Amino acid sequence: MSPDDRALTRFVHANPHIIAAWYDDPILPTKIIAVDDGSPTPPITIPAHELRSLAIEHRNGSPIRILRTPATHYDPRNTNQACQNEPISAGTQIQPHGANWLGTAGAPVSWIDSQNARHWGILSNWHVLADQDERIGRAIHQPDTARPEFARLSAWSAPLPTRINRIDAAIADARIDGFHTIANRILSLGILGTTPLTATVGLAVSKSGRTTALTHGYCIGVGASVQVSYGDFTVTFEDQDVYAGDNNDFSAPGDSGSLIVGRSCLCPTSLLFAGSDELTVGNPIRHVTTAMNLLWPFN
Amino acid sequence: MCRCQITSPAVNLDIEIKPSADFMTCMIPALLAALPAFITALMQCMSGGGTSGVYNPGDRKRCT
Repeated sequence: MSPDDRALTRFVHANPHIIAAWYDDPILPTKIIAVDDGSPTPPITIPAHELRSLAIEHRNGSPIRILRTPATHYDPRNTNQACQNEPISAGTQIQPHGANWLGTAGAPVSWIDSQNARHWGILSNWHVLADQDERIGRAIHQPDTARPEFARLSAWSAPLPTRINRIDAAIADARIDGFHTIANRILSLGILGTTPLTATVGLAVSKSGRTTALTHGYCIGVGASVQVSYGDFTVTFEDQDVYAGDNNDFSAPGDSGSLIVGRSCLCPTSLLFAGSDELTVGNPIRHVTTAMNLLWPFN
Repeated sequence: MCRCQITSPAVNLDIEIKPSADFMTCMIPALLAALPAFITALMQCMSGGGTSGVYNPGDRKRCT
């Protein structure tokens, strides 16, 4: 048994949510079935380099899907779904103009555009802010289109079924009438840590999102390759961070776009974009930072 | 040496010209140098696509 096989076996047995895992090797795929006894097992630390190109299959074939939700769903008791006065906290519900879905304004972010000008706005997913209506300047509303726009779509990185992807991300400029509508805080979490954090197996994390609000969990895998259903098509991602909730679900439809942060420092770690009944998948924030030219800290 | 500085929300030029101390000798090249960037910034502002150089949080009440 190679060192990689040993690491994989440990990974599978440490995570009862997952019944099968294998290295994504097209020549000699190795598949190991884990015993799913339903008992929670504490996460163990595995060096990240041992988990490269890991693919994951889920109990009952439960697919990983993007986590936006139809616009008809609304819980008035959930403050993450309520209207926010300016400056608006991230972690709250948003809806693009003309969209029939809801998602989350994940984090306050700052970036440099191609003209070398600095902007302040929000980070979320491509499938939340843009999807098929990729239009610079598209109005983004909070909590929904019944309220005034608070940001305008600025840039995105769309995943494609024809290639292997790393991120599903978009940013919207929150400067309206000369003022920035977004605050430097995330609802229920507060001000972000100043430095991004690379996820490692066992890392304790939190997130604040539109549907499940503030939840806590831990990293169960890094460097994962996953197939994500976008409804009409499926997209392959590589080098993804995978999370499970401490007690309850870590995420649910509508939480797409949330920022997953390291719990101890509130450091940006992953951009939540997909999940199944058992786990949550996030784009490593280092890939998002590079692609969107983000600056940390926010201000 | 004279030093001319032209600053707007979108244009920030700092031009030094040596060894002249004549004001016009300094200002005219500085204005000419700033003109293209200034016009570009003006067009961006007029089209609603202006840049944002400073974080300036608003306090609009938008929920009532």
